[in-house]
Amino acid sequence: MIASDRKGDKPFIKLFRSPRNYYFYDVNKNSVVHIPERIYKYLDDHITYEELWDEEKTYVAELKTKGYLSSNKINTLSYCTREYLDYLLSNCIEHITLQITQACNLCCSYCPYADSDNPLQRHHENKNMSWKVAKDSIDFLLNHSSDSKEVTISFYGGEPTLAFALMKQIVEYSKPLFVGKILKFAITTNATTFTEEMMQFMAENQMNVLISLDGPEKVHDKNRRFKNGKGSFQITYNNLKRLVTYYDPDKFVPISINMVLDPRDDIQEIETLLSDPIFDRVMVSTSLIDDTLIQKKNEVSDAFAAKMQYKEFLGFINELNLAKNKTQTSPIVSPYINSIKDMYKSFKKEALSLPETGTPGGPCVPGQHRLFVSTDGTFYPCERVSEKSEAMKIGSIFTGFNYDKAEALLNISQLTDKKCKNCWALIYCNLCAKYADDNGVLSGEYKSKFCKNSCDDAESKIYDCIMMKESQTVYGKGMTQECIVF
Amino acid sequence: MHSILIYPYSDMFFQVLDNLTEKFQNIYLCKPYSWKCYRTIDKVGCFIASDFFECFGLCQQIIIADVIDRNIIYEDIKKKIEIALDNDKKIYCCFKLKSEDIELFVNKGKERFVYLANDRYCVELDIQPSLFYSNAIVVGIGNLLTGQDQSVIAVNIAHDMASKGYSVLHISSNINTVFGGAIKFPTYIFENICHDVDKIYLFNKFIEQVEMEHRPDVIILEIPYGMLKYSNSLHNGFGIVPFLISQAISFDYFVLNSPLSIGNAAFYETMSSGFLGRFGCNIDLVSIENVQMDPISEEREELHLFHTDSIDVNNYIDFLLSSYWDNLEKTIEYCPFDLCEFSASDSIISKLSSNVDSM
Repeated sequence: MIASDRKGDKPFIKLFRSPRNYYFYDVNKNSVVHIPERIYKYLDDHITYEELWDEEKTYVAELKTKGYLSSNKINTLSYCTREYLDYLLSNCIEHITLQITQACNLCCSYCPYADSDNPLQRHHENKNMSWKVAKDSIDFLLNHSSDSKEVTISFYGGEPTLAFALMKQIVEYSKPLFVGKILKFAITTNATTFTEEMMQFMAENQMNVLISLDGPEKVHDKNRRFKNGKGSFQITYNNLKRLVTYYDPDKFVPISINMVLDPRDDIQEIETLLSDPIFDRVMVSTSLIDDTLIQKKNEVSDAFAAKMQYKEFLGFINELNLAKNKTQTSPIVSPYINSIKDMYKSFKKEALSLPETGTPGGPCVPGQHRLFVSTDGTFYPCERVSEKSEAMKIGSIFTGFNYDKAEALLNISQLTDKKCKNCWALIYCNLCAKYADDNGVLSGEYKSKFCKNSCDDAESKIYDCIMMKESQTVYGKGMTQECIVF
Repeated sequence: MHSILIYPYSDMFFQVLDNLTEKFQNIYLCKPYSWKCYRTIDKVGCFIASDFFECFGLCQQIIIADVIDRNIIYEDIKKKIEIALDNDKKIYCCFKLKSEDIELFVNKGKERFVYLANDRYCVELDIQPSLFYSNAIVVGIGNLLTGQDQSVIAVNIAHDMASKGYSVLHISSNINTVFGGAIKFPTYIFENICHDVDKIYLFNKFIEQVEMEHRPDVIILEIPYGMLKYSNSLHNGFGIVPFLISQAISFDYFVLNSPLSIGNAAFYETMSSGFLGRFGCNIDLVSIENVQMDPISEEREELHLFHTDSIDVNNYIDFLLSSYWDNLEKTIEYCPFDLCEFSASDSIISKLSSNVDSM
C-alpha cells in the first residue's frame, strides 16, 4: 500500500529498496528519488503522517513543492489526434519492407513460417511479389514520404535473395525517384545463396545486410538447416566473410549478424563465434527465439539464465570501469546494457507531469516507422506480426491505409484502459499490438497476460539503474542522507 | 523573351518567382520526384515538372537553386551542372558548392557558369575595432525554430517598401533571393574559428560596408537559426548567432516568425519582455508560418516541422487574439507569414518618418 497525504490522494509512485538505501520511482516526474528509511516507511504505510517528525513533514512538503509524490494520472489514453495520424501516414513514412518472396531454402526449427501446421502464422510458399505490386509499393512510398528526409527500402522473405532479379529491378527503379532524399536499402538474409553478382550489387548500393547466424557451427546447425537436414553454418559463415571483402574497408561496413539465442544452449559456447576478428567490422545483435507466433514456447534453463546474468554483471563492471579494462561487455548482453543506459539517461530529462492525454510507451505508429508489404500487397505494421490476423492488416497497395485499423493498433492501451492508467510502469511498457492479437482479434484480456512480464522488465531495469548509481556513490564514495535524484 | 529552367525547385524559391516572370516567357520549375511543394504556383508562364531532362531541351538557361539540405542532393547537382555545361547551357548557380567544384565548373563553362553563392563582401577585423551605428532603419526577422523560412516575410516587406519608393537593402540566408536583389548573409563570419567578440565586430563591419555602398533607407536582415534554445532535448542552435548579431546591430523593428500552436498571447508577450533583455528589442510583430512542430521531435531529440493549411494559421491567430485575458497588455501584432507586409510596412514607415524628423 502506498501512503496517502491528508487529502487522501495516493502518490503515483513505486517503492524500491537496495541493500543499503531506499527509493521511490515517481511516475509523473519519471525519476528515482533516494529517500531516508522513515520516509520510505511512511510511503509504504508503515508510519502515519502524524508519526513523522517535523523535519520529515517539511521534507515531504518540499518534495511535493517540486512536483514529486503527485497523484496525477493520464486522463485519456490516446497516442495522438486522428488528424495527426493521417498526416504521419500520408507524409512521413520512413521505411518500407517488401516481402518479395515467401519461399525459403532453409527449414529453421524456430521459424514461425517453417511449420505448415502452425495456425498462428502463414507458412513458406513458392509465392513471389509481382513487379506491379513492387512498383506500386515504391510509388506509394514516394507519395507518402514527402516530409521524411531519409527513406529505407528493405527486402524480406522467406529468403529474399531467391527473388534477386526482382530486388535488382526495385533498386534500379527506386534510385532516380528518390533523388533529393537519403535513400537506403536493406536486406534480411540467411546468406546461403550468395553469388558474386549479388555481393557486388549489395556493396555497390551500400546495402545494409542483416545475416542470421546463431553461433558456432554446432549451435547454428542445431536449428538452422536446409530442407535435406544438412546444417547451413559453413555456407553462411563463408559468405559472410566473402561479402565483407566487397565493401570499402575505409568506410563503415553496414553488415551485421543477428544471433537468435536458444535458451537451451550454452552462452559461453555461443560466444566463441565472436572471437573471429571479422566481428571487429561486423555488428552483432542478439534476440531470444520469439515464441509469440510459434506453438513451442521457450523453456529457459536455470543454467542459461545464470550465465546471462553473469554476462550482464560483467557488462556492468565494464561500463562502470571497475575492473580497469579487464572485462568486456559481451555483444550478447549489449542491447540490455544499452537499454539500462538509455533509461538512466531518461531519468535526467526534466519531466513535469504525466500529460492529460497520453499513452504507454509500447506501440509505434503502425505503417509510419515501418510499413511491411506482403507479396500480395497487403499492409502490416511490421514483419513480426501474424499475416493471418485480420486485426494486423492496415490496408493495401490497392486501397491505401485503413486509418481506423491503424488507429486501433496504435491505441491498444484503450483495451486495458483502467489497468494502463494505473500502471506505474506505463512509460516503459514494451507491449505493442502484437501482444493484443488473439487470433485475429484485438483483446484486452489476451494483452493482460503479457503485462506482468513488461512490469517485471521495467522493475528489473530500475534496480539495475539503482545499482549503477550506488556503485558510483554509495560504494564508491560513501552514502549521504540527502535527496539524491537521478 | 526566353525560357529558363530552375532546378531543384522548392518552396525556398517561391518568393523570388515574381522577379523572373517579367524577364522570361516560360519558367520550368523542376523539382525532384520525392519533394513536395506547399506553395501553390498560379503564375502565368510557370510550369511544374519532375523530369529534368524533359525540360532541359526547352531552355538555354538554367538556375541551380539553393536548398536547405545541400548534402543530400550535392552529387546529383554536380552531375546536372556537368551535363548542362557539356550541352552549352548557361548556368546561374545559387547552390553552395565546394571550392574545387566551383573551380572545375568555371574552367569548364567560362562565362557560361555564373556562381552567385559567393560572398561579395569580405570583411577583416580592424586593429582597434569600434562599433558602427546604422543610419538606416533595421528590421530584424528571426525564426522561433530552426528550419522555418523567414525569407517569405523579408521579400514581401522589401517589395512593399520598395513599391512605396523607399530604398531597401535585404540581407538573406536564402541565396535564391539574389534574384530579387538581396545580398547573401555572411555566414562565413559565424563559421569562422575566431573569438565570439571578433564575430560581433566583423558582422558590424559587414553592415557598415553594405550600408556605405547602398545607402538604404531600410535594412531588412534575416537572422539565421532559431532565436532561443527550445528545450534541453532540442537546443535549436542555442540562440548563439542571433545573440551575436543583436550585439553588432540594433533592431528598430522586429518580426518573430513562429510556427503554430506554440503558446497563447501571454507566451509571446512574456517572450517579448525577455527579448528586450537578451536582444535589446521587443517583438513588434509575430508572423505565423504554416508549420507545426512534430510532437515526436522531443523524443527523437531532432527538430522536425510539418506543414499545415492556411486555415490553421487564421484559426491560431484568432485564438491568440482571444487569449488576451486579465488585462494583459497587447504590445504585439499578429498576422499570417505571407501577409506580413501589410502589418509591418506602416510601422516601419512611421519609424522612418520619425527618423527624418530627428535629423
